[in-house]
Amino acid sequence: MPAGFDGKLYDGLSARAQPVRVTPTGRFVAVEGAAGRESIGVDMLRRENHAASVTLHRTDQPDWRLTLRSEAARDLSSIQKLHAMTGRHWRNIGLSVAGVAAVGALFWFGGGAVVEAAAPLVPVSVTKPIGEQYAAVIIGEEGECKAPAGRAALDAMIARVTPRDGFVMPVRVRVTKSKTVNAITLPGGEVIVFAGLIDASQSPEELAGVIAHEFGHVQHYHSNEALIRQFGFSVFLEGLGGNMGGLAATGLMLANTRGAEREADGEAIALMKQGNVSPLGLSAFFDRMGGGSGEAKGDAARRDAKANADGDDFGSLFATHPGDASRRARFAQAAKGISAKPVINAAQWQALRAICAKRPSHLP
Amino acid sequence: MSDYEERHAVEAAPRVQFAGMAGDFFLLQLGNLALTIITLGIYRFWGKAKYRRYLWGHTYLDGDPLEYRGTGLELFFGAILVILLVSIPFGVLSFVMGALFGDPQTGLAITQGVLILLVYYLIGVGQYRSWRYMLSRTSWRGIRSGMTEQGFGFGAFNFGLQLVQLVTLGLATPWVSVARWNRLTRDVRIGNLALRSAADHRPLWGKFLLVWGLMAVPLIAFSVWFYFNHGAAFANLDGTRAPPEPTELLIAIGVLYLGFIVIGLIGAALFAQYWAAYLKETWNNTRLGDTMQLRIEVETWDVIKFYLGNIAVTLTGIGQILLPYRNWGFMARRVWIDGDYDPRDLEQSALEGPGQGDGIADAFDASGF
Repeated sequence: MPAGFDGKLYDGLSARAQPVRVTPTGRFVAVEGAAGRESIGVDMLRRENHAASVTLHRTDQPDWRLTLRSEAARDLSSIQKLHAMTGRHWRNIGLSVAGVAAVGALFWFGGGAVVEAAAPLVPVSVTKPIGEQYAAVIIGEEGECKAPAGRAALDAMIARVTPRDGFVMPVRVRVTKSKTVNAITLPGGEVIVFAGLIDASQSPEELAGVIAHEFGHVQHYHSNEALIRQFGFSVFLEGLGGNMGGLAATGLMLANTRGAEREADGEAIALMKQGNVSPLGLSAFFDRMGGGSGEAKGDAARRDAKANADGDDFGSLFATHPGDASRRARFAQAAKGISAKPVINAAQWQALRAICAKRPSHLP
Repeated sequence: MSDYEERHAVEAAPRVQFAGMAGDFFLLQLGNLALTIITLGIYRFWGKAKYRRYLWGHTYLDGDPLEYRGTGLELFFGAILVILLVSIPFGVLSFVMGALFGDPQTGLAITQGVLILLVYYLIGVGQYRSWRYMLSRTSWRGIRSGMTEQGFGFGAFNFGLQLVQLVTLGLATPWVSVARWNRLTRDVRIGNLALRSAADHRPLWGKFLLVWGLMAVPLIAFSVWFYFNHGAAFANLDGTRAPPEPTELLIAIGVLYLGFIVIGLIGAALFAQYWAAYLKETWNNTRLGDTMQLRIEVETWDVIKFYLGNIAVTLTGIGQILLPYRNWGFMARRVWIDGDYDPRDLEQSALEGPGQGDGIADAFDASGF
């Protein structure tokens, strides 16, 4: 007769311990007590080792417990461990990781198309308040520039690069006093030109080109796309905890804004062609901002823009832009097919450059 | 049943012992951390289930360990569910609400207001469900625990308590926290036995007001002293006068930080005294079934050591992975059960166990361990 062990049986109905004699016999474990004798198949049992005891669980009765002193452990080693990381556990974890990765990949690759398709569907009534809130924060710091003569000149410039068939949403262009060299498009058609950009522009064509580029963002609903992307991703990944959400969102923003910038450039060229505005100005602008020692300046402007405007994610002039050299070439190429006329005259340009002055500069 | 068994059916209430080792737990958590990093954070749900099994499994009642029966998959689905039921609706709400009102400022204000109210409601629901989830995954000798309700009622109750806290600027803390404990424990079931708490807020007021009173004195004294000795460094920041010397400003900021740290530590020590009193008042007035009584052995000095230890491990960075062990161990080493019971009368809980009913919805999980 094989050796047996004394054990305590808990039947899952009460905390009463029933003294039993436990005898492992190969593929079965015999349990004998006042209530009778039962042979339980080893494959129906799970084992949990503790410091001084072993607990057996039954797969068919989740609350049934049998505890034995640890010396029984050796004879019970054929019983599967309760919390062993079995193939099933690893499969669950693997599937979870794969599921999260799949949803992530869906956003990343296929998501672009979904986001692009969804972007025009977000009503302006939703995006406008968001854009206005951002704009209020950005302009709030420095204040809006609206000297009448400068404003009139800006409006004349805007008219030259306004789509013939109209904007896809109401557009408002405002100038803020900030010295950052940048322009951004916020949700709801809120375009903000920083005074620093006007200062840095050496010709009206440069500024007009940048504004046309921003209109490109408007026409392609890029800020809506950014909203959807940011919202979806942050909710999804930040919900799962960890810092992966922010990381992924930034990566996604980088990956997708490059495409958006190219799209906005394309639209800008079309608008400039339609309005007979020379793209050479914009080309020259990138030349100055990007080339040679200007690289550092461009980087500084980028950092500046990042620090200055949270609206970066919605498509600003510098953030996450394609290489300046390739853009310059693209605009230079586009210039060949355009019979350019001056955007605004010299007096208007002077007034525009003084749009932030308390009173127009040509008056005493 | 024999006469012997009949006569010896009533036993002393189980003795609670915690036999965990910080070193073992640290190694376990290091493994969890590595896998969590490799899986981009997804493994942490399984890691959590694993370390809870360790904490529960090293807590013995009369020689038999507590069992943690939750799984990582459950926690993972719980997190997904929270995303679907809370995060996304919240996001959409804040999106849409802004659009419903023409004026963005009004829209923003109303949206924020509604969201804050919702959050304050959900804090209570979350706390209840966290208790509920963990108790439903805890068993001893096969006998499960649980909470009798879903937690939505408690959410409303807790909302009221937080309102009282807001109105009284936190002065009602003893009353509020005792009311919360009494209400939460009321729904706890260990098997078929109920917890019943009759904790009283009145004995706590002395120690609590002492914290406030003694904190106010050094705070005001330091503020006045600082104003006259270093105030000048900040006085001319508005640009009307010459800017301060950078060193002068740095020294002033340093002194300010140091002052607040010292006062904060004094405050923490005073608060530890209150906290020890709170733990004793609540646990020592909670009965389990009709024959057992909970008890906690904790003194102010224990709480201070606990705080200091937590600060120390947090400052080391990686040591933070020990925090669940410290939080659990602090309680598990100090809790006792007095009285006696007949194990035959500690019957299986009628509440749903793991893998039953709304197991997924149960996983609304937020706790210190």
